[in-house]
Order: sequence, then structure tokens, then C-alpha cells
Amino acid sequence: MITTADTRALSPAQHDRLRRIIHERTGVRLRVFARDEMAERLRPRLDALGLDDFDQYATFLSIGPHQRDELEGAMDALGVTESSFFHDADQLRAIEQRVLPGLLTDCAPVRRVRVWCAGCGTGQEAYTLAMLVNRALGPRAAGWHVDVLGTDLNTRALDTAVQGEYPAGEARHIPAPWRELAAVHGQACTPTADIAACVNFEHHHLGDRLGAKRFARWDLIVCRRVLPLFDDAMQARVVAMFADQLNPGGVLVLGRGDQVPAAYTLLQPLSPDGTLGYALPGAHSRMVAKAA
Amino acid sequence: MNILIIDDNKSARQVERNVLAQLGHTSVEEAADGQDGLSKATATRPDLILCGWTMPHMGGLEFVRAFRQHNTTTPIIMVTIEKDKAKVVEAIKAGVNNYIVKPFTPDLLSQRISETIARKAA
Repeated sequence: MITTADTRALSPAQHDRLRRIIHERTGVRLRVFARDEMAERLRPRLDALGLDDFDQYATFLSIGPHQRDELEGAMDALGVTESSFFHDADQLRAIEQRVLPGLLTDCAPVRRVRVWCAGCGTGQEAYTLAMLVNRALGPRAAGWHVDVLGTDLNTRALDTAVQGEYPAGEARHIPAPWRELAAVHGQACTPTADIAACVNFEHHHLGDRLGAKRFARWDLIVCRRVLPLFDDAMQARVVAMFADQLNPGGVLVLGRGDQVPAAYTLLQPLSPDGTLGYALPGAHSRMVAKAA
Repeated sequence: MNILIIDDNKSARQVERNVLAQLGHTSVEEAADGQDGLSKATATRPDLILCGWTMPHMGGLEFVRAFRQHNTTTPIIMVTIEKDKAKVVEAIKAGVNNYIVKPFTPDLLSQRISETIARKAA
């Protein structure tokens, strides 16, 4: 006998079907989600829509006028769009101390630095990068043009990012030196106006190489959240696109543990484990500052 | 491929027939409501059904539910002006395989037919 609990379980076939739909539509291969976890995260979507089982949900994601919207709902529910201020603060501190000084020195003649936060989700990381650069510039910041762009494929997440208003509790993730660059008013935490003014957001799929070209070139590209969600082929394409979009001497920073594919030798690691990022050789003589 | 169009609006049936003809589908049967559709589906055993939503005697949703009682494999594409999320959910629960909101372009209908057939074959 089939019980209600059984019909709302996620079978291996349904798990494969959902992963295939999401992969075909977004390029995101959800290999990181075990079946139970995916079921737990997506079951509220079934409830919200009034669907009986995951077969019906997979069909809803595949047909009708709401499939794109619901695909974003699924990505939200799966946490693909989650972001936070100063995620992996140790990595960011290392980048601030050992990468940004050289990067900003190279950019000093034009007093402009361009930073792309690729796969920014709800935007906190893009604001974090603006804070990081702002503090690294110190008193010089007022005379510089700091241009941070956050991109994501999820329009709901981008709406949150553009609004730039987060639960007040998220301010606790911001380490003391940068805390003054965000303001807490009642229940909301927002980046200061100076920081918000540096940051823009646009819809972009990381599989869209031509779309990336319209952003021109970047001094720093940071993609620390989404690369592990892609399969190997997609990862290689995305990294190649990043390399194309870097200024000579520009730096690509991935999440800790994410690696540029070994065969891709154009980008040189700035530290043995890649934590500090990968530099594109070029006219600039970028030197990674030695740790004190 | 035999295709059955179920719609109470003769003009709508003609538009769909014309688009199907452009796509090379000439073996097309028509029914004017859900009851007529059930009879013709039983008699002609279509490979694909295009079904409207609001019709006299038996509407599209009732047709799909009744048809699915004894046939779970023949693909059904709902062709309708209904675009509310709740309507799409109702149609999926009834057993449709695809969903097109009117007005549609010939390209869109072609695409939906192709993907519906491909899914059935998979």
C-alpha cells in the first residue's frame, strides 16, 4: 500500500530527473545534494504549490508559464543562492593583506579598480568585496572609482541583492575592522551608502561567455560559491571565461579548496593551495606581498 | 502521427490544424468538447492530443481525468488562455504532459510537440 509519506519521498528516479532538469536549464549539476537533503529542501515547494509528489513537481519545472520562476524557487530552496558577509573571513584577510596591495598599486595610475563577484547570490559577497577594497584603499578611497559587479542567474536573489537590506543578525559576520561599513537600523543591516554606491548587480549565467564580454575586463574576479555546483566540463569553461575577462595581471579568487583545472596553465596560483587566487600573467608586475 | 484537437471553438481548432499542417502533421482529427474527445480518442487512438480548457458538456480538465483512467501513455498538451499557477498545478495533477498558453506562435507549438514526443520516447 502506498502511504502519503511514500508518495512524498524522493525516489532515485525522481532525484535523477530533478537533477537533470536543473542541469539542463541552468548548467548547475547538483552533485553535492544527497537525495534526502534535496527532498527535505524541496518539500516546502511542493506544499507551496499544492503538488502531491516529486513527479508532479518535476513536471511543473518542465512545462507551463511558471517553470522559470519555479526553477529559481527550487534554487533558492536548495540554498544555491545563499550568501553571507565575509564568508571565510580568513581567506579574505589573506587576500586583503597579500593580494590587494599589489593589485591596487597596479591600478593606481588610473585610480580605478574593477571587481566581478560571479555567482553573488543574494549579494552579501559583492558588498563584502566593496568593503574589502574600500578599507584597503583607506584615505585614497574618495579619489578612486571602485566598481564591483555582482552577477547571478537567479533573479529573486538579485532582487534581494539590489535591495541590499539583510536581517540585522547578519552584521555579526562582519569582522570589527569593516563593521563601520555597514549600518544596523532596527531589524535590518545595510551596507553604508558609500559601499552601496560601488556595487551593481546584473543577471548573468556563467555559461554565457558572450554575455560576460559586455562587462569588459576585470582586475579581480571572485567566484567562491558556485563553482563546485558545476560539472568538470562546465567548471573548465567558466574558468577559461574568467581568464578571458581578466586584465593582464588580474587575479581570480575561487573558494577555498576549489582549484583551477591542472591543465589550465594560463592562470598561475599565488599560493601553493590556490587560496590566494590565480593571476593572469601580463604587463603588470604583480607581486604577492610576503606574509609578515 | 495521428493528432486529436479538442476545442469547442472552431476557429481555434482551425488555427491549430493550420499550424500542425505547416509542421507536416496532416492526420488530424477534431472534437468539439471533452465528451466528443473521449469518443474520438477511443475510436482513433491518437498519438498526441491537444486539448482546450473551457468547453461545454465536458471541459478539458474533466476530459484529461477521464481519459487518464484508462490511458496513461498518450501525451496530452493543454492549450489554453489559463496561465495562473494554480491552473497549471490542476492540469499537471490531472495528467497533462505539456502546457501552452494562448496565443502561441507556430514555433512554440512545434517546440512543445517535439519535446512532448521526445519525453515520451525517453
